[in-house]
Amino acid sequence: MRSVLRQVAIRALWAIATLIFTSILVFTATQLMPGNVAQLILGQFASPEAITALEVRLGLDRPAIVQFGSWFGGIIRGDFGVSPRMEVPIAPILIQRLGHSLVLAGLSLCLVALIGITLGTIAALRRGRALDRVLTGASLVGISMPEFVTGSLLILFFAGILPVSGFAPPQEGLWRWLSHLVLPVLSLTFIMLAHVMRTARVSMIEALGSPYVRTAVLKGLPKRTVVLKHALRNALLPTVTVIGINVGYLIGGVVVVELVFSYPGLGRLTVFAVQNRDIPLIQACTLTMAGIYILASFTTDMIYLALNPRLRAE
Amino acid sequence: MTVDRASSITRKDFLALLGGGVLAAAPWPAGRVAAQGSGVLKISFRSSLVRLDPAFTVSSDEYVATQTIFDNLTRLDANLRPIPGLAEEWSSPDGGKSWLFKLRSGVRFHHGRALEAEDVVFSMQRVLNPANASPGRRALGPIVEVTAPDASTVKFTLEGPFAEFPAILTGTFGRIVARDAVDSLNQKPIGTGPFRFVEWVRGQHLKLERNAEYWMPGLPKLNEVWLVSYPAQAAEQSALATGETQMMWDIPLSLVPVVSRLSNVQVTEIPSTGFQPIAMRSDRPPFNDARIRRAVKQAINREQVMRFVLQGRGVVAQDTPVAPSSAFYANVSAPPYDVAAARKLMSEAGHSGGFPLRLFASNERAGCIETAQVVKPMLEAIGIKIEIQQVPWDRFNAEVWKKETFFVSNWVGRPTIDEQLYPYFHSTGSWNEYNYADPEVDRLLDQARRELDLSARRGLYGKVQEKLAYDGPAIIPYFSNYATARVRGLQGVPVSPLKWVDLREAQLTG
Amino acid sequence: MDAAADRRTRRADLGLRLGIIALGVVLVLVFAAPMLLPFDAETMSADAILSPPDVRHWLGTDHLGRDVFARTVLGGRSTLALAVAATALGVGIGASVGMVAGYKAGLIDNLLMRTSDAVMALPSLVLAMLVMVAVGSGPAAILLAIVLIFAPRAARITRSVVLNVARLDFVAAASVVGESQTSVLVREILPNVWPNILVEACLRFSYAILLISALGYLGIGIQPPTPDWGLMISEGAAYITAAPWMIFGPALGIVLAVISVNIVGDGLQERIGARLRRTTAHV
Repeated sequence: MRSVLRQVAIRALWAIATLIFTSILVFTATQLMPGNVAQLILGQFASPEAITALEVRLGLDRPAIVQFGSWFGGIIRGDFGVSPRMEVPIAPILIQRLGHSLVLAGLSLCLVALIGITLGTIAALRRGRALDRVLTGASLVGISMPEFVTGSLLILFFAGILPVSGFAPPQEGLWRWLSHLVLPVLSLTFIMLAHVMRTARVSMIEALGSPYVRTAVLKGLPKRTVVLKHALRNALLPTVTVIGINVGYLIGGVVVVELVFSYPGLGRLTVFAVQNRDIPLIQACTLTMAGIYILASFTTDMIYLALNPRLRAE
Repeated sequence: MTVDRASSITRKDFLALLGGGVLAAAPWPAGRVAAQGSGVLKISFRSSLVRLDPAFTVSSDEYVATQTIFDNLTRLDANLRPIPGLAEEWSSPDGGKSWLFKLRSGVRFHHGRALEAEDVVFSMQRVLNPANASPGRRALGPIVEVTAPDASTVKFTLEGPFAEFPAILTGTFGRIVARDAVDSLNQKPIGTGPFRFVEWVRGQHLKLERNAEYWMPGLPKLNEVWLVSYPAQAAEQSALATGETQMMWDIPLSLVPVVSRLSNVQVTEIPSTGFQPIAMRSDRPPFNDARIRRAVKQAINREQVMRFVLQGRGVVAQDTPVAPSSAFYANVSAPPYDVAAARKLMSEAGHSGGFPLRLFASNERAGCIETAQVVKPMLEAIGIKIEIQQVPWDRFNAEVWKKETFFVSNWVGRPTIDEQLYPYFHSTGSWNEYNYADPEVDRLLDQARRELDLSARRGLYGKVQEKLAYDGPAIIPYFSNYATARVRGLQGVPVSPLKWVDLREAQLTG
Repeated sequence: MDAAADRRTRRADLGLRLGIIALGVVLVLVFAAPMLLPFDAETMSADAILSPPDVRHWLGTDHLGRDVFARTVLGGRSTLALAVAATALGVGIGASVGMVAGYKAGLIDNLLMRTSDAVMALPSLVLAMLVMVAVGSGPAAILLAIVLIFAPRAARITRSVVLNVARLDFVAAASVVGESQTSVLVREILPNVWPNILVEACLRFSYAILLISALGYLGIGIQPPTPDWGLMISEGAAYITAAPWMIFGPALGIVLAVISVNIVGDGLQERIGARLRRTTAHV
C-alpha cells in the first residue's frame, strides 16, 4: 500500500514539474512572436509615446525573466491578465469557454470509451468473421477522416435537421442543449472511436488467449462471465492507456471541431487568440490545454494503477 | 455578463463550468425563452463584433450594433437625407460655418439620466481629442469647436462653410454617449437608442432588449434584438432556414440564388456604394512611383474581376469610390486594360524584370480573398510576382490595413460625398489606408467642402475623381450589390445601401 | 512458430501489399496525372463558376471556375511532398537525439526528456499554430512546425528502445572491445532500432498529412491560390449548400492518402513486430 502511495506522489510531482516546464516553454514561445501587447491595446492610431508609456505601465520594459515571474505568479493566483483584443480579464472567459469544451470533450470521451470497448470486444469475439472484418475496415476509414472532413460532411447532411453551429445553455432546455452538441460530438467521436476500438480488439484477443481466461473456461464458467469478468478486465488496461493518450489528440480535435461548428469553447478561443496575436490570451489558452493534458496523463496513470491487480497487490 | 468573478469558486462558477455560462447568473424566466416569434428578432452575421464603443468601431457590423444602442443628433431618411434625431431642429446662422442643434426634451439614457447638451459636447470631443486616438477623429467634418450655449442647444463651429454637416453626424462617430458612463462602453454600452444592452458574449452574440422609455412614441416594437455571429456559412443559412434567426444581414453574392430558394425567406438585392479597393501604399516603393500605379491599373481587367468575384452582381467601377447613383458622379475612366501598355510603364519605371510583392486579403469578408486570387495572374502577366497572404478580419484591421504595402480592403458606402472621398484620399483623412498625399487632391477636397454652390462643387469633385481614376492609389474594380435576407414575417426594416440597419419600427408578424 | 501466427503474418503481408498498391495508385494519380489533365489547377473560368460535376469537370468547379479534380490532384502533390519531407526530417532528428540520449544517459538525457515532455504537453495543432504565427505561413514554416512536433515523440520512442538494446551483451561487448561510441551507435545499436523508427515514421506520415490539411483549413498553412486539401475544404465550406462538390474532392484525397499510408503502416508493424519477436528470441 505504501508503495502505491509513493507512486502516486512521484507521478503527481512529475506532473507539476512538467507543467512548470511547459509554462516556461509557452512564455518563451510567445516572447518570440512578432507584435507588441501595448500596440495591440492602443490600436493603430496610437502615438509612439503613448505606446512607450503603456509598455512601462504594463511592465513590458522589464527583463523577460521578471516578466515571467509576475506572469506565473498571477497564474497561481488565478489571474491570467487582460486580453488586449477583447479588452476584458481573461480568467472568467477562460473558465466559461473551458466549461463548454469540457462538456464537448467529456461527452465524446464517454461515448468513445463505451462504444469503442463494446465494438472492440464484439470484433474480438467474432475474430476473423465478416463482422470483425467490417468493423476493422470501418475503423480504418475512421482513423483516416480528420474532424474537419467529418464535420463538413455532417453539416452537409444534417443542416436544417440539427443545429450545425453554436451552443445553447442547458437553461434553454435539455433538448436544445443536447441538439447543439450532437454533431460536434459525433465528429470528435468518429476518429477516436477507431483508435480505441482497434486497441480494445487486440487486447481482448490477447486476453481471451491468456492462460488465466483459459483456466476460467476450463472451470466451466459461463462464457458471459468469462468475457465480462475476466477477459474484459485485462483487456481494459491497454485500452485505458490508449484513451488516455487520446486525450491529447482530443484536445487538438476539439480545436478543429469547435471551429467547424462555431462552438464557443476553449479551442475557438485559442484560434482567435493565435490568429489575432493576442499574446496574454495565447499564453492562457495554451497553458490551460497543457494543464488538461498533464492532468489527463496523471489520471490515466492512476486508473492504470487502480485497474492493475499486480500493482495493487504489492 | 458575469465576467466579474469572485476570487473563490462559487456555485455560479461551477454552473458556468458545466456549460451554464453566462446565463447561469441570471435565472431565466421560463416564458421568455419561448418568446421567439413574439418580438424576438435574431440577426445573423458572419463576423463577430470586436468593439461596441462607437468612438472606436471600424467595422460595418459594429455600426449596426451601435446604431441600435445609441442615437445621433440626426439620422438619414430613405433617400439618405438628414432628418431629426436627438436634435429636433438645426440651423446655420452664417451659411454653413457654424451650426446650432436644438435638442429634443425628455430623452433619457438607458441608465435613467436625461440627455443634456453637455453629453453631446462630450461625445464629440471624445472622438476629436487626439489623445483618445479615435479612428473617427477626422471623419466628423472640419470641426473647430463644440460648445453648449444652454442645456438644450449644441453649437458647432467649423473651419469654413460645410453644407453636408448635418448628414455627416449620422455616422457611427456621431453617436451620443452619456458623459458619466463611458468607462465601460465596450463592456456595457449606455446610450439613448431604441434598444438597451443586456449581454455580450464575445464571439457569439450581443443581446439587446426594448428600451421602454424610448423617445419615439410607441417604438420600438420588438422586445429583444440579438446580433448573432455565425462564422460558418452553412450554419448561418441553416439557422435562417430553421427559424433560429429571422434576418441575415449580409448574404455573400454567390449565395443569393441558394438563399432565395428558402421558402419562408425574402431576399432583397440592391446596388450599394460599398467597394473593395486594391490598396497601394503610395508613400513607399514600389507604389510611390505613379507609373507603377498606372501599370497596375492597366494590368487589371475590371470587367473580369467583377464577373469572377461578384458573378455579375454589381457594376464595374473606375478606381473612384463615387458610384453612378451619386449626385456628384463624374463619368471618368481609369486607364484601360492594356497589358502591353502596362508592361511599357513597368520598364519605364525601371522594373522591366518585374518584382515580387505580397498581397494581403481577409478571408472573412466575401470578395476580398477572391479579388486577390483573380488579380494575381493579371499582375503576374506584367511581371509582378504575387504572393497572397490571407488573414482573419480582426487581424486585417489591426496589422494590415494602413500598415502593409498592398492589400485588398473592404468598405461600406457613406451617406455624403465628402465622406465618400475626403477620409480616404485627403492626406489627413481617417481612412487614408494608402498614405496618399497629393497636394492637388487635398486642395480640391478642402475647397469642395467649403463650396456652397452645387455646380461648382460638382466640378471640384469631378476633378478629384478624374485624378483618382488616372493615378490614384486604389484600384476600385466594382461596386458590389448588397443582398440581405429576412423571413417574410419581418417588417419595418428598410434596406439601406450603406448596410445600416434601423430597427426602431421593426416588427415580427405571423 | 505456430500455424496461427504464420497465418497472421501472411495476412499482414497481404495487407501490406494491398496498402502499397493503394499508396502507389495515390502517388501515381498525384504525381503523374497533372501532366495528363486538360485543366490547370489555378486557371479560372468565368463561364464555369460553381458548375456541378460532369464529363468535362469530373469533380465540378469551384467559386472561381477552377477545376476541382485538377486542384485535388495538385493539392495532393504538395501535401504529400511536404508530409514526406517533414516526417523524414522530424523523425530523423528525433531518432538521432533519442539514440544519443539513450546511450549517453545522465543529465543531457534528463534535460532532453523533460523538454520533450513539455513540448508534448501542448496539443500538436496548437503547437503548430504557435509556430506558424511566430514565423509566418508557407511551406517552410509548416515544415518547421511538424519537425518540432514529431521530433520529441520520435526521440522518446528511440530512447526507450536504445535503453533496452544498450544493455544487451553484444553492445556491451563492443564497447569493451574498444569500438568508438559513434561506431557502437551506428553499427550495433542502429540496426536494432531502425524497425521501430520506420514504424513510427509511417504512423507519423499519415498524421503529417492530417496536420498539413488542418493548418490549411485554419487558413494559416498553404496560401491561396495554391491548391491544398485543407484550404479547399475551408473554401468549400462557404459554398457548402450551393456547391457541395467543392469539398468532396479534397475530402476524398485526404481519406485515400491517409488510409493507404495507414494500411502500409499496419502491415509494416505486424511484419516488423514478427521479425522483432524472432530476433528477441535469438538473443
